[in-house]
Amino acid sequence: MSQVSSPPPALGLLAKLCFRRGDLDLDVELAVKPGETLALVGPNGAGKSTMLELLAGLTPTDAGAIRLGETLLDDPEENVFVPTDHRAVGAVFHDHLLFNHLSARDNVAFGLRCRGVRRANARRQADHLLATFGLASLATRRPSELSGGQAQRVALARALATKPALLLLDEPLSALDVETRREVRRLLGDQLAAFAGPAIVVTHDPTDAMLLADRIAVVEHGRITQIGTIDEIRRHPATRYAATLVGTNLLDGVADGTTVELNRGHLLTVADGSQLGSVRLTIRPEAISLHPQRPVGSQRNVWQTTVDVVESMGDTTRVTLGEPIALAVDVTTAAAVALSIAPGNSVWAAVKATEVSIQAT
Amino acid sequence: MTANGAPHRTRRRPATRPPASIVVLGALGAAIVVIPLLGLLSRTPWGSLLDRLRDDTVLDALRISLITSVAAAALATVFGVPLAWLLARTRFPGRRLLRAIVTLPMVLPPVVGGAALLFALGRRSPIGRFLDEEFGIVLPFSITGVIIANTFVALPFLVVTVEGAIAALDGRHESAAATLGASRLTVFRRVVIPMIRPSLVAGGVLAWARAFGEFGATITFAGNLPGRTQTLPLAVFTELDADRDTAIAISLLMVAVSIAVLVALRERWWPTDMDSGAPRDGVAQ
Repeated sequence: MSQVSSPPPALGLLAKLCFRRGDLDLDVELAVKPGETLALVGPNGAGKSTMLELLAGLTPTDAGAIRLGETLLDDPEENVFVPTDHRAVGAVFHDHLLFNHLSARDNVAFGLRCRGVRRANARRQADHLLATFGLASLATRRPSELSGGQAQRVALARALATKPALLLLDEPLSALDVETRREVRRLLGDQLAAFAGPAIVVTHDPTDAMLLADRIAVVEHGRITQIGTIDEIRRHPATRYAATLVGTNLLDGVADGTTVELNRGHLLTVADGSQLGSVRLTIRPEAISLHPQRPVGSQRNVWQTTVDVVESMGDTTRVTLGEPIALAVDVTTAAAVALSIAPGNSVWAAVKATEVSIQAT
Repeated sequence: MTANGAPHRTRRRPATRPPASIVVLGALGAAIVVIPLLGLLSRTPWGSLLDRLRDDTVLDALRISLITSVAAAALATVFGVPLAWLLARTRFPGRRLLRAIVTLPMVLPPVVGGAALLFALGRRSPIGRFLDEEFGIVLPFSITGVIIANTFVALPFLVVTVEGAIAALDGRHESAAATLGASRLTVFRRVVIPMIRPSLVAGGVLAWARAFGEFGATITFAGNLPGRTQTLPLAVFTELDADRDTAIAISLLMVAVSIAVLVALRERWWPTDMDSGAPRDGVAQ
């Protein structure tokens, strides 16, 4: 790892990015500490990739400022714009973008050559890096002779070869199949953990975000609607998109003491009776239990419903309930089998009042 | 690795025969090219062919044709590739107009181009007078004049081909190179040029072919002086009046040179397999 992790640049990123083009109206602020990885998640067209382009200097901002450590990279008001090739930025793209006229080794050496390293030396460093990535035997191959996973690993090596101070990853795993994705994700996770500078990874896969990033920023319509750890977002998702992303149920209603009337008239009981008026409820999918008959016990919220969708996720099964409250429920796959959960079947759902968290809106 | 290696090529028999109307029209299209060539071959004086080609006038014309056409293709490449890049990758006022003007020699009658060159660079023009008085260079009726006339008509073929290739490039490779610290000049030299190499070669060959066959602009601007400005096409034109069999022999020589160049380039440079991209035996090492 020595090639990649040293010397530590250890500069934080501070950015305010304003940018308007067509339908996109981007206005976001970011602070990423050295060694920290921030995931940008959000629907297509939200502005995630544009944020990377602005940070990389491929496009100048309309307003705002980008600061990497002490260095001002972009500030229209100060009339400062450092072009991409003068920024210490490493980038990985979803479709690797390797140069097909160069071998894997020369692709990795490319950045070093651009920065004035002699050919023999650059190739030696490239070989070393490829070896660390388990790609030594592929050094002389052309990108077209590499599998998707191999190519993406070479692309990562290429981005890290110049020892960038800031690492930008644009959907680095999205073009890979499930198996390869897992392997490359592990390598990427190791490299990000060893990386001393700030890193930003754009993804729309919550698994990638959770496994690779320290914090997640939810980007919607050109704004960061929420930023925090996965636990923070799961506990209090700020928007419906964030809730869906982390799998948490989000319900809007009107509170009156410990009773909340949902928009569709159904009543839920909550433990915290301090709210009055419009509220937002969040219920974790694993907090809801399913039963073949009306359960007897302490749960305050019990209702009969039908199963809408059943998705197996390995050990757990995600069950989406239909009327009267559309909710995502996670049960163990064993339990799902025992309850013979299937779309259209009738079940009883139950959730304790203490499991329903409430926030004023 | 596994399944994503070379795709299997299975030669499948077409389910039906091609439609007769298309076959007939296609065959006529081929005949338009083949019949004149057969006419040439049928009139060829095979017995005296070598003697006729060994004639000094013919050898001079061959030499001048090869020198001027290769020089013109080289000049068109040296100046045309940067011009194509500017047209494809930068925005400046008058860009579209410039593109239209640069492609004009493709449609302009070559004799008009020759006349234009004469007015612009002839001894009585400001530029011509300057070159003559300061350096003693006279462009019209010189081999340099032939090269200029050839470059004038050949340049657009290269520019159009290369500009199309650059415009079709996914600019994101250039962005990736920039993140690796490549300046725009480095991106141009180390990324754009290698990526468009097949089109660059194709454009160069087109430019060379256009220059090799150039007639109108050359005869107008550089005249038809044997041993100085007489290229093979001009020699054919002269000999058609003087000695028809020699004209045919020279024509055949041009056919042979053209075919030899096309075949050589195809085998060496042009990708025959789209999957493999550029050939790998080459210049990178």
